[in-house]
Amino acid sequence: MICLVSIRDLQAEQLRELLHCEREIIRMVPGLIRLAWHESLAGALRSLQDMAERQVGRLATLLDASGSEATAQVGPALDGMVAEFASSLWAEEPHQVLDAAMVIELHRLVHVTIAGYATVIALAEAMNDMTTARPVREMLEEVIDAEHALALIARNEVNPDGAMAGVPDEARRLGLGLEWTDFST
Amino acid sequence: MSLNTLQDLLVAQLKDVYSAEKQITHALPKMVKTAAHKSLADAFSNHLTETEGQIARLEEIFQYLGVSPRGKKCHGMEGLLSEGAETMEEEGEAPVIDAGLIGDARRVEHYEIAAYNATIAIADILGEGNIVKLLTQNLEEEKAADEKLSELARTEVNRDALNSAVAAQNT
Repeated sequence: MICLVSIRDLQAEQLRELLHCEREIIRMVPGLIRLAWHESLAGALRSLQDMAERQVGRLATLLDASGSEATAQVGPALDGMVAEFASSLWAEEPHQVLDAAMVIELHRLVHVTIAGYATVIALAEAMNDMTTARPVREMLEEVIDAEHALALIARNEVNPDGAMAGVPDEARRLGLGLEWTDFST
Repeated sequence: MSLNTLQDLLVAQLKDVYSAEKQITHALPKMVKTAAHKSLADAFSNHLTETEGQIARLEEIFQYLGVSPRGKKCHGMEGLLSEGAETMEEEGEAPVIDAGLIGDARRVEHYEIAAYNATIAIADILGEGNIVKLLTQNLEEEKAADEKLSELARTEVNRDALNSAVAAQNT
């Protein structure tokens, strides 16, 4: 059990949780790149991995500078999200739907890190610790950019292709994919 | 659950977010009791009422689709709420624990924001305007709840957490 006596204890705990999260992203992404059917999604995943590697280095630097050990804080939150990933992605599913499901799970993971970085900034600002707040704000902005990139890929490519999954070839050729959908079954 | 079409994915996401909201209604009462700041307890309490309304909207969607809302557990939310439960069990200064609870609650809100954004995008491309409308109401409430938590941290809770640590050092 961690003892939260000071706001600095809490900041260190938050930074360690983020370190764990970014390391998990680095661990998971290569498998996701292999699964991704859309090249744009695979490209976004590669960018996400590069970003996570940069974040790990920056988080370790921040923890060192604050005199805290740069060890990852393992917690049930990320374990749950990883389990969600595993239950959502089945390689035998149509590739269009698999990509759409993957983007959704990535969005969730990225959004949770957004909340984490925003929390660290708020704590640092309360302590007037701009040495931490400034770099973490830069990290947050990069994560938000990654989230926007995923949203664009979903809207422009992955979801429209997903809408055509399971549509008979003839209907698809005639552009009838969306009209063919039937929720009653 | 087999995901052969985007409709399957829509239903799976709706079931997932339904499970998430149900789990939140079970977790929030303890968060209300634990929060040392009245403003934070009130924010959690108000969000509990909102969450019940969100569940009702989701049930309306399930009724429209003719499918059961049950059958999927949201493991992501289960993990996030376990993290919050751990914070509530931690020893330390009450204002610092409140600041930690805000961090945990903001992760929960962002998880939901991502879930609603994604589900709305799918419903939109499938031409399901009624579903989009109901889910957008839930999304806007989640965004407002996150903003409220952020404001409480900035204007009250983090400052008190800082002062409590200084006071503890001086005693």
